[in-house]
Amino acid sequence: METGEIREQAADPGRPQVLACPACGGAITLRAAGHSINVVCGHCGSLLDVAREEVSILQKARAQVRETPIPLGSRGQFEGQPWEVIGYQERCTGFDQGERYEWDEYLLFNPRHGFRFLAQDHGHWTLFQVVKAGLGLPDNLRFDRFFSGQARVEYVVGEFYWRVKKGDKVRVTDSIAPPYVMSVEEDKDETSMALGRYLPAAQVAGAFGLDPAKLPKPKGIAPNQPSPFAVRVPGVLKATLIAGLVATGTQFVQAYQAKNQLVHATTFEATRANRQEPQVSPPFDLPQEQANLCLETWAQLNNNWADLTAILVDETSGARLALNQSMEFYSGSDGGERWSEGNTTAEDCFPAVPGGRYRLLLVSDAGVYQWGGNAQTFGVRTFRDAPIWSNWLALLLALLPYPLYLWLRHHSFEYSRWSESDFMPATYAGIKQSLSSDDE
Amino acid sequence: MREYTCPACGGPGKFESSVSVYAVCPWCKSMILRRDVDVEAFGKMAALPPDMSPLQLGTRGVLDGVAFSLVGRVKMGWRDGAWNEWFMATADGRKGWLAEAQGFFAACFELPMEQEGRSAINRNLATWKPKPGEKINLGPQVYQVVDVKQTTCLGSEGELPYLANRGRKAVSIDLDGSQGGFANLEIHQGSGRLYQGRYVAWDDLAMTDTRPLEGW
Repeated sequence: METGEIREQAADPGRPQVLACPACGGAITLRAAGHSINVVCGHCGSLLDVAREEVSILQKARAQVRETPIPLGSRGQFEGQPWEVIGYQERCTGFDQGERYEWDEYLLFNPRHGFRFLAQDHGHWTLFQVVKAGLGLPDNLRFDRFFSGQARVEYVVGEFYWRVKKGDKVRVTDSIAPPYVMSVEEDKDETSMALGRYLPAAQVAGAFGLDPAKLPKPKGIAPNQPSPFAVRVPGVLKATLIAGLVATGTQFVQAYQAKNQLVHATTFEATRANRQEPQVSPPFDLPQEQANLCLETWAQLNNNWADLTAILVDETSGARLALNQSMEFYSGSDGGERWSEGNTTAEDCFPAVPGGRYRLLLVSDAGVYQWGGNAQTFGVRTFRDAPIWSNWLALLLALLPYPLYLWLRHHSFEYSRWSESDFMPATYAGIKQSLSSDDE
Repeated sequence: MREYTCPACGGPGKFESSVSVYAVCPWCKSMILRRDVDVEAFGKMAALPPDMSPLQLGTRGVLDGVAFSLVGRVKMGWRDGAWNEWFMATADGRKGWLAEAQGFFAACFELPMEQEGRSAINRNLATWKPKPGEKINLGPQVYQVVDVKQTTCLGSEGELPYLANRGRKAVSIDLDGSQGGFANLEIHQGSGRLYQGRYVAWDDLAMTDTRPLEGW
């Protein structure tokens, strides 16, 4: 057993390999030794084959080597693991026809967890992992095709576990289920599939300890950028629904329990002469429990207005509360069509009136006096503990705008996203078509 | 386990797995063939090309609740790179391999090439020229050829169930199953070895005694 132990301990630790570039003599660090087969020298830009122990030159330097925005050899923390940047490529689509579209890809390496690709596309970041059968894909995702076309390598530096060179072309097909994107790359020999997940730029800056201001500013909407509204919609809808249901439930319980007792009813005629004098009701007793006191007022109106001020007087303390009720009603005919506006009735409440003995003083004014009229008829009914529906209605109406706003913003976001795609869903495409035909 | 003395250097060695037929002497790198009663040494194994593998001989792990340890390695090379095949001694005595390629690990177990007198693959392996896209039957499942590689053994260490000398050439055929899972057929001098496997994540293997990695 002892010999075995010694043998195990004697194993060489894994370490990056340092080799001299056969073209320029510069030192190259092979960070994923054993995996990497092609290296583009960071000093002279020559393309080297490192698949075997003897390094050979595949292509002498032709292009200038540039500093990559995240330097080779940097380490960043993703998925709870450190990842080292070992390769960098710039790629583009639309190089032959249509609109040129560029993005960068960093190859990340961790000796235990393999490789990841960190793509930067107009300031938006996505972390990709190659998909292998049986290795945890997120469930129940529906991917929609977003892009399909040829992609070409425009610039390359660092090391790669596949054969890479400037000008290489593959067919790329991206399908999205934000924040995910499934990217399928095909050439004549091989098809590979990678699943990407959108990363906020701040997270990338944090992972590499970079100044977020130095990263490119996000432009437009990325294909797999999650809609900031979509995440809020389910929660808001749920909250709205719950609030609506609670309010409705409470309202019905209160309406059912409300006693709605008629405590006073009167009809009176106010005249030009006595309109300044209040109509005084007989005293009435309200039960001990605090509750509202609601007035339903009616005025006999014909193309006119009337006002009634109700003053509630506490007989014991002399305290007064007042509310004003305005009614107006106009009607006529316009080109043979009847029209009317306003209302001959009004409703309002004194909220939370304690029990005790009260009287009502009613003071009125009316438009009829200005037109030569002499009298105005009013009817007033007073209810103790009336059910109130207006608060509930107002609440329901107040609940609506925010979900509606989110829904609109979400679809506007999705519309902008899909405007960049050749595979716009039919509903958005219909809107786009009607918008463009409006322009003409 | 069977202990032996290296015929070349006299150093002590042992076969951990009963299915191993070949080993590389840990002391002098002589290649050793296991025979019925003794062992034979022939030639020396050169050092393996360097890599960043987190595995080494003696690494232990658990797969589906069964403990294993890595007792041998073959380094395979092909036109576009190299990968490691780690031979596992498993607690249940199966012939298992842990393949390590392009940052992925796959656990593979050998299937018999013949069952009840019938060949597992209805092809003449001596003359078959497999093409990607071709479909073949393996038991009840249909498999599709996805990749055909000409491989060369770049070296080996530890103990192995076949003679993995440097320069050994073979054809490696990757097969994708219709119901998920994959298989690999290796044809060497007209005879085949069939493996069935699946990808496994590093974290699911609960590995210990892993190789130290500088800076990691």
